[in-house]
Amino acid sequence: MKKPYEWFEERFGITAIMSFLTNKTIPQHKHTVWYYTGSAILLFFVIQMITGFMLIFYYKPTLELANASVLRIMNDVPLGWVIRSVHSWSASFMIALVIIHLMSIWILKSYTRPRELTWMSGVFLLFVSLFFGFTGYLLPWDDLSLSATKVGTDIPRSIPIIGKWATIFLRGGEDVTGDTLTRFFGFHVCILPVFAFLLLAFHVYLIQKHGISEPLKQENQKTKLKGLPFWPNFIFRESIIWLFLIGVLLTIAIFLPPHLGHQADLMAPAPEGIKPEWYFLFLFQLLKIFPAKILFFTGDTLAVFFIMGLAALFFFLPLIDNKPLEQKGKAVTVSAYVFLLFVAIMTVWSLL
Amino acid sequence: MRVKGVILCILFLLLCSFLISSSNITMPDPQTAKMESIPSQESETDIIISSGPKDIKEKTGILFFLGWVWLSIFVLIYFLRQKIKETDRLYQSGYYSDGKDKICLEE
Repeated sequence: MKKPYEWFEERFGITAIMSFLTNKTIPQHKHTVWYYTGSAILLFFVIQMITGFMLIFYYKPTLELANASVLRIMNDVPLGWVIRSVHSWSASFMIALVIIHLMSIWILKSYTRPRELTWMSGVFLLFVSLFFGFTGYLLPWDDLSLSATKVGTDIPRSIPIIGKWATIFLRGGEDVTGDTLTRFFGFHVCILPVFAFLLLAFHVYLIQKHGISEPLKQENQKTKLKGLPFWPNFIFRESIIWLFLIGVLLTIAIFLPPHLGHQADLMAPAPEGIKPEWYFLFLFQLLKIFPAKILFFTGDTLAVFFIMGLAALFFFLPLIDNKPLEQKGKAVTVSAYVFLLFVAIMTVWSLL
Repeated sequence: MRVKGVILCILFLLLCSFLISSSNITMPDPQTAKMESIPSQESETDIIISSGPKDIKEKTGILFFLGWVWLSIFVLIYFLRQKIKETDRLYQSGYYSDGKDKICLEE
């Protein structure tokens, strides 16, 4: 038993790694629960990767075979429907957790100096996750996914000057065709994973460099909170949450598997009741409620500018709210709750 | 602590029964499934192909598997809770401080 340990120790320096992990501490306070969301996101990312590898063995990203290959995964591949369902549900779980993670940071104002870039890389990761969802939605190539992609890729067209180019870039042409499918497949399985890995590495490096944030009161008073060793105390606690989440994911994936529509027909009119994934519903409703024309601008252009403005405010939040810790008020915290309420109302409205 | 566990178990069972009642975990008619799998020009655009176990054998197998998964999760959580108590006690007694840590690893 001693020999294998020495072999690994000589090559990897396990003792040094374990010592580092034991000496690394996690602050203990009443908001510690939010720290667990970060690792849960990573768990779902890994689940997505594993199930994605399994699906890619059978999926064929061509106009003629995409829908049929998904049908084959569901009907002929042993437990293929479970793998597809786990892949689809873990995407939803991951995005929900990324949103919860970012909102907790917003409310606790953990993005303050020197953690501005940690926040920005996190917001970038949210955008990448959303784009993962958007590109993955088209891959089954059914009526609903085709129509939703047509609507989604048409949104950038409202942006002056670069809008048309952005739409053509996304679609691989003027319209959604087989080229769009190939392009989205490329984004989904190659380009986005590379981006996600790089951003994740950068994000984790920054967390490691600046340490885990503590509540503002403690950071302001420069008081040291009681910490818990990362290994083994914190990891054991995290493992309980991971196990529970895996159980919930598997249960939901088995009882509520995603359906598949019939093969998309490029010439067919859009079916009624097109709806995007739940995380895009508030944007979808926002686009719908804007009037056709306001002064000299079309409603679509203003809606897109409004959404881009919101995204920019969200991204640059640490630079906007850069007052010293002792001068910080409640405005930013209130704005987080208002934003959450706005998103919830818009989402429910779109479902009515 | 026991009351908490009982409440959690009841909530879990309620969730399971809700999911079973609202799920589409029913066996599709093989003939219909076969027909649906052939793309047809005349097919309605709003028809969807449901996903789920193919036959009673697979359905039973998947439910047993899920039961086994949850049982394993509860057992593992029980052991992890014991380990947490132990590691917290060791941490409070200063076991993880540098000197003792080195001794432990060398042993």
